[in-house]
Amino acid sequence: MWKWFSALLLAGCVTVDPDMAITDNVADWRDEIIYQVVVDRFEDGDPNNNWNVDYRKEAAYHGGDWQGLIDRLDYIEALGVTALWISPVVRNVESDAGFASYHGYWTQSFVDVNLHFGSLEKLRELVRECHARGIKVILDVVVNHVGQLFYYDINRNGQPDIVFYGGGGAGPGSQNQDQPSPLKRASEWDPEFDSRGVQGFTSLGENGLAPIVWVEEPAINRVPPSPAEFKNPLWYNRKGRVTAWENPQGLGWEQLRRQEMLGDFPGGLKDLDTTRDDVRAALIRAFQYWIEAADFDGFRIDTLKHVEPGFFEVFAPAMRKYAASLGKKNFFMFGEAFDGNDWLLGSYTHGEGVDSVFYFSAKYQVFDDVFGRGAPTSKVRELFEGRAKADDQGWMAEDDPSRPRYGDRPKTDGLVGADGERLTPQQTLVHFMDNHDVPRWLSTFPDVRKLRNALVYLFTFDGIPCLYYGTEQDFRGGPDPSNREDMWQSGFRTDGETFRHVQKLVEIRKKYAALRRGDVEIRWATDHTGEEPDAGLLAFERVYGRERALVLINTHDTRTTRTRGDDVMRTGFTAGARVVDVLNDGASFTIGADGALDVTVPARGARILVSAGGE
Amino acid sequence: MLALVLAAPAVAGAQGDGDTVAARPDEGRFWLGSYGRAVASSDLDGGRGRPSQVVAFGPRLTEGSYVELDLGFRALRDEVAHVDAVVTFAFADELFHATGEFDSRIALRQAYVEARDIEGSGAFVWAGSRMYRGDTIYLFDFWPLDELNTVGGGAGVRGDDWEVALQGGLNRLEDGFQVQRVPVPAPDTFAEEVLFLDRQRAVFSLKGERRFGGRGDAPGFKVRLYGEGHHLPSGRRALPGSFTETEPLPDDQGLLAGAQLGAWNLDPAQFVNLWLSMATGLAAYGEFQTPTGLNADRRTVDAREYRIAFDTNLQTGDLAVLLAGWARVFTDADGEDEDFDDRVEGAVAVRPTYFVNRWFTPAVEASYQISRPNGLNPRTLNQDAATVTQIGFVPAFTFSEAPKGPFARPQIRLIYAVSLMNDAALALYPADDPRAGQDTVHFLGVGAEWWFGRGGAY
Repeated sequence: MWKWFSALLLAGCVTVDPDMAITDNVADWRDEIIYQVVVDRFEDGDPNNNWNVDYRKEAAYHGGDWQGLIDRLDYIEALGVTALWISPVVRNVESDAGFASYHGYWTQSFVDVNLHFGSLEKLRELVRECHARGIKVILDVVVNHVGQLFYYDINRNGQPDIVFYGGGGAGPGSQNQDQPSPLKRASEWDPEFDSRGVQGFTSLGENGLAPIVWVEEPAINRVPPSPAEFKNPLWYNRKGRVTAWENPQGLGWEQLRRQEMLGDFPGGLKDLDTTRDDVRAALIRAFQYWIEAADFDGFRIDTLKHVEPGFFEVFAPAMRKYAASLGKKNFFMFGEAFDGNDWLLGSYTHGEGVDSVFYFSAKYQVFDDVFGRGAPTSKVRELFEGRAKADDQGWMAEDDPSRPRYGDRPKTDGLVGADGERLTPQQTLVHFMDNHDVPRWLSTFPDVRKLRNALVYLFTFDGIPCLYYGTEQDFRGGPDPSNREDMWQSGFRTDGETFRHVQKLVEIRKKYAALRRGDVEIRWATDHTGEEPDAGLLAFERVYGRERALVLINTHDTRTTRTRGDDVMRTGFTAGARVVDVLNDGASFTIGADGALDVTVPARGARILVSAGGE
Repeated sequence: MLALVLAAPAVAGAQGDGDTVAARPDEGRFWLGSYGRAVASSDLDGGRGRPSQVVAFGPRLTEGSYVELDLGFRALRDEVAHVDAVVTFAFADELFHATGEFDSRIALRQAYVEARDIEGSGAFVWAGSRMYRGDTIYLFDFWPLDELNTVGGGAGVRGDDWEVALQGGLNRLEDGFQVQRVPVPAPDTFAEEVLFLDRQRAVFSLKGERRFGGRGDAPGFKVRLYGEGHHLPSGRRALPGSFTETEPLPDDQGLLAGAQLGAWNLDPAQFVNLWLSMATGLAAYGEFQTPTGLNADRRTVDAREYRIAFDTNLQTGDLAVLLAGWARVFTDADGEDEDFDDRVEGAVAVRPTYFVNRWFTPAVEASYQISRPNGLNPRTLNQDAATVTQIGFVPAFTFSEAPKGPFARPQIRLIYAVSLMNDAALALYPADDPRAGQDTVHFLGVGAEWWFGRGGAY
């Protein structure tokens, strides 16, 4: 009877496919345009997961979720971007010191979804819906640390304290006039870095390594990590919080790097010892799971420079191999080394590690300095040419001082271009103007003309452009968390000038393969920023097979610039060829002898010239 | 209502928390009535016996203690009307001798006055707080069609073989969905808590019943049609920590329509009841439940519940067999097809009772529960049907003047039940819940169940 009853009852039940269909979606990552969203701030599509939501607090959950993204795919598709980078999906510690984990970087479980954003089924639905529209999905992953899941019991009293010790100096009447004793403060959640490991302390002085204590507070999901194997003190470096960021303490470079790699990330985010084979294996298993569970097309890897570099020599090949075994060949991994040091950034692109990095040096030197502050465009040439230079004499070049600043060798079983060529890190750097960790570009440079000027560069230079959500809506929030505005405040309008500007640039980039895949030849970059005829001019060509595009950008605020100084600019177009400006009004120009081209570009304007004949 | 009494089964079958039973005492103007069960139980592992349940309505057999006390007063019985005042207290499963706490979880479940047969017309009217119910399934402690708990009133007309009744009531559950109290600055004190959100759910019902035959020992048949309407007005709720910033809450509605077919005085079936219903919106959740799984407008209008249920007692000679089952399909309003909150579930149970003699009435009960969600279990990432198979043995001693039958009470009994839970059922517990590792659950109890003297027609 039971079987009969069961069969009758379940006849009409919805059946969930337990497996996600895995697809190989990417022909050439250089064709992609990444759109970064902070899920909690994009759109609230499901009010049922809105616990602990408070729109009024910048550091609280605001209710955005994966359903919201699904609901707004029309908008994303209208903008034209082709890949969605979503903030981390894993379950987090809910809150700490009044801040919430809406951003997703406080991992508690590597293998469970953050229920604020939806269920695993909903995440899969998001990926499926994106793929159905040709939009790839990139997952933000954190391998460096977990959330604040334990504390250092410095005074061994079994509770997390803010510990004060020392006599408090030598004020009037102090008995320590001869040997003043400074008052020291240590948070057992987030003590300062100690290269020996965080030390215990009593009134008699240090007493060895401080034990760590796992916390069990289910109400805020501050509970031991999952999978349970991560609940192993030996898997963590246990050296306390990174405090030296820009060498203020006179540390040597290696000491600074050691602290960055071994220290806890500020906020008490406990640093994993990623030199251990068992830690590496566990992280590999965890993130292989996500490829298979939700068919992601790539990983954006958080806090790259805080991870021991050797880790990625193991992690990245394992991910490539696993993705390939599922039929996903062009699995893209790019990392965030939040640093303007071009040599440091480039160091991560060698070997078999990540495919690429965020081009932070270009963010600072090109987008901020050249486009924001009006620095000479020669800085663009200098940075671009620096990629291939073997000019690093420091420790980063290790035993190969002849290697270029950025990797010029494809990874084994790495990225492949549309024509079958193997792509190098130098070809796939991820360009961006701003992101969730830095003030929005308009916050620092509150001139939309400059923004639109810089956007031309973002969408026409080489590599892979990455646009932070809300840029197209002229969002101008300041430092974190003000730069993580609620996207719904924009009304998702598609008629704004910047939105249409981005839309047009994307269309052009999609239309002309040279702008996506072409090699760069800088035709004009100048030191002039004043009254000179070519002041502010940047001109570069993108060449892909027989296709060629010439981009002219004037970074000067007030003066029209011209493609000539002592001599007129030479291009790669043949003499007599007609080129047309596809960005503006379709104005056409004739190429002179030796490829000469003499045109003007208005202040903060740009031209994108392609052959009128389609060459 | 009266239909319960007339539907003979229900005479015997009255059963359940607050259900009707036989006639009230003829003498005296005051009466005491009660339904109750008190049980001491063990899980044979040192702990208290507990139900093993994966569906909305599980077997009554392993439920804990529960007592209702009716205090009635017959205010009038003459040609003008028959008027009763009824107050019912209910005590939940925390008996002093079990907990050592000199306290009880007590609820005032009924407080109403009803006037019946006004001027001999068959008309009736009532008002107050009332459990307003139809027929029940004893084995599952479950009213499949009409069961409302509100404060309100009603009226109707009752004929010899028909009845029409209208009811309307309100509730305002103490949760953030309907009520919010917020401290605001006060002129004479620092703060005064005021009622910020105050929205009551209005619930209306209409039912009509037609009976055919059934007088004396003759077979009878009845049809009952039933409908409910729910309405929740819009409101505004203060944002956390604020008394000036608010957010709107939309209004909401729900409807329920259903029918019951019943027969009695059959052979060997003493009664058979079949129920069907469909509910939408608020009505899909029931009047006591705070809705979850809202749609994007924060409304429940897209929620659905479909129910089917049956109940019968097959009795011949010294053997009576209670057989019942139900199934429901529930989808919340969030529009998700693949949703762990949506499910298809049901249960069946059979309880043969053998009347060895007038007072020794042992029984065996077998039941089966199954619940399959429309989504993956977030813990296991599997979509499996949770099942519980339970076998119970009930050596019972029945001491009653009522005719022989499975509903004769009071009863003193031993209960031993063993429940087998499959992996999907265990996965409904948190991973760290000790119960999550116990696929075989024992229940050994000794206790009593009774009902008597219940007044009023509810």
